[in-house]
Amino acid sequence: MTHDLDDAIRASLRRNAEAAPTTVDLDGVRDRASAIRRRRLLDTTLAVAATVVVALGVGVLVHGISSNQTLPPPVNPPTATAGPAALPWIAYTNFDANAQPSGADRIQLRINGNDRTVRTVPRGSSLVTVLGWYGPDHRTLVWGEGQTPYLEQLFYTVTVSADGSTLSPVAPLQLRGQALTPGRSFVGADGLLRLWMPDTIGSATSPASVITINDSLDGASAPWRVGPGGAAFATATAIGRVTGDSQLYVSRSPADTVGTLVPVCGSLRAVSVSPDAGVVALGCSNAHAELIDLATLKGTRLPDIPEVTDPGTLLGLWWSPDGHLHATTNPGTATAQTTDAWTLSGGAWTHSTTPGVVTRFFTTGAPTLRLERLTTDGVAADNAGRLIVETNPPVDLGPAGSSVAVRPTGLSAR
Amino acid sequence: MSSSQPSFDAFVAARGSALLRHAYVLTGDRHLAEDLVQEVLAHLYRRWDKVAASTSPEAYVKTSVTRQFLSWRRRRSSAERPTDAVPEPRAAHGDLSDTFAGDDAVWRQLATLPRRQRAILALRFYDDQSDAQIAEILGISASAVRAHASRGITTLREQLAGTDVSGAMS
Repeated sequence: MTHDLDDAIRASLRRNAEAAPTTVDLDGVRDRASAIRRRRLLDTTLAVAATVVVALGVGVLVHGISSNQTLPPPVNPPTATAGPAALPWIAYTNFDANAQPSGADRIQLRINGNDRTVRTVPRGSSLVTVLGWYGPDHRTLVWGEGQTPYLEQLFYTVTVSADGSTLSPVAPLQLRGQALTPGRSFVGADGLLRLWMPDTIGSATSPASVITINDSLDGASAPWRVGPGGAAFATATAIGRVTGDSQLYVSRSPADTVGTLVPVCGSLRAVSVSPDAGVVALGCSNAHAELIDLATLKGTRLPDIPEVTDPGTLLGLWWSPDGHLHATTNPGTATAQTTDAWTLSGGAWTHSTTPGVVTRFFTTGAPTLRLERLTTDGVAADNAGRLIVETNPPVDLGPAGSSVAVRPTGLSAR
Repeated sequence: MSSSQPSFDAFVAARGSALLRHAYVLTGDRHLAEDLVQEVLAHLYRRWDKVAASTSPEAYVKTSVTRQFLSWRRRRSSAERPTDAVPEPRAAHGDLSDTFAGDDAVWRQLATLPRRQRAILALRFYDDQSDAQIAEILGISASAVRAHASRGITTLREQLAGTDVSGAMS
């Protein structure tokens, strides 16, 4: 049957291809090319105009994000050659849909080209997120697993021997001998782990403490107290929380537990902090997006993403290490289970046309970029997360993953 | 442009029908195929010198057509609606599709596959591309190509179970 079917496919395609149109409308091509040129000219003009307006109106151009004129060109993947032995240790998650009864998340390590499973977590309502490599020589992996309705997780560790051959038992993340309570985690461009720990687990109305874990996992900053609300973001200098009425409060000093109310575009659906921690991008359920300068708390409304008009179709916002902002969206119409990817460039959103749709970028202290991306444009965002680490050659970590952490290759790297 | 490089018009005149056939086996729709090829050519029109200077302008354009097909979300989202009933291929000019596609279960089921799987099967079985070549065209690994192809063929096999496909080979 296999070869019969192969032959049948081949025959069917070739026979039906004869029914294809035979002539390309050259005049139509030229008209369309002219239209594309006019549109690009218009886009450029609008982008320049928008840049001038923003610069005059706001006074400070927010890191040049709404115009790429002040940004360096996007970085290319690393070009230095590196054999498999030079690849960093990689931890990643992989969802096994066949595990009983309802699938399971596996935490995988890839060290020296070999994969091993650290932990298998039944899916149920839990998700697993690998957070990073910490501790002496960056050999201790930290991850979160299990989720309350408000996304708090418990945190665990495993330590790998220096030669990568053996693992310690899995243990809860402890600070000075004390296991931590469940919380939300944030890893910023500085690579440090920030944990948002509500006084009452699973409550959207609970005040919380935010601590920053040091790189060696043997200490934490003094708790930064924040008022009631959900965790939106946490950096070294600013913390954002959302109250039940979709209002964002930003605190910029540990003494300010209430924070400043910042008008936002609506009910928040996506939050992403820029690589330099200076700007937070917000996406709302009405598909609008904006940037908040965390120094001034002034907002800049971003252009609407083309053809994203239905409520709830903005899925995520991501920054690439070079400072470009990317969005993933759901068209919200016939392809309700699909994802589109966009890049903000020249004051407008550009639809990604590359086969691998980049959906999430990370910076890392390692000499490589790390990123998540979908290899298939048009698959649901929450269950299609093929992970590829941008080393040279790229490391394909397989489908159904949701997070990845690359071990810094040097002690001073992070 | 050197004299050995094809002009845009000459290229389209010589290879336009091949591009349209390529687009048609990808899309399964005559009008979408025309639209797809026209859109890609329009984008390449202004920088044809660079395309013409490439090792194989036709391969370059076909790769662009394939990638554009895979990323053609906006057009699909506004023009297409999912349906359980797969429409028959559109007949034109009293054309061959009436003769062939009407009873071609394989062709009809190919139209139900996800676009990436369909594209990979088209590249493999219509264009006779190797998995490595397909991987390069799509920007994915060869193992991913094999996985997509395997899934597509498995789906077709399930959908065609009990159907005599030998007629499709005639």
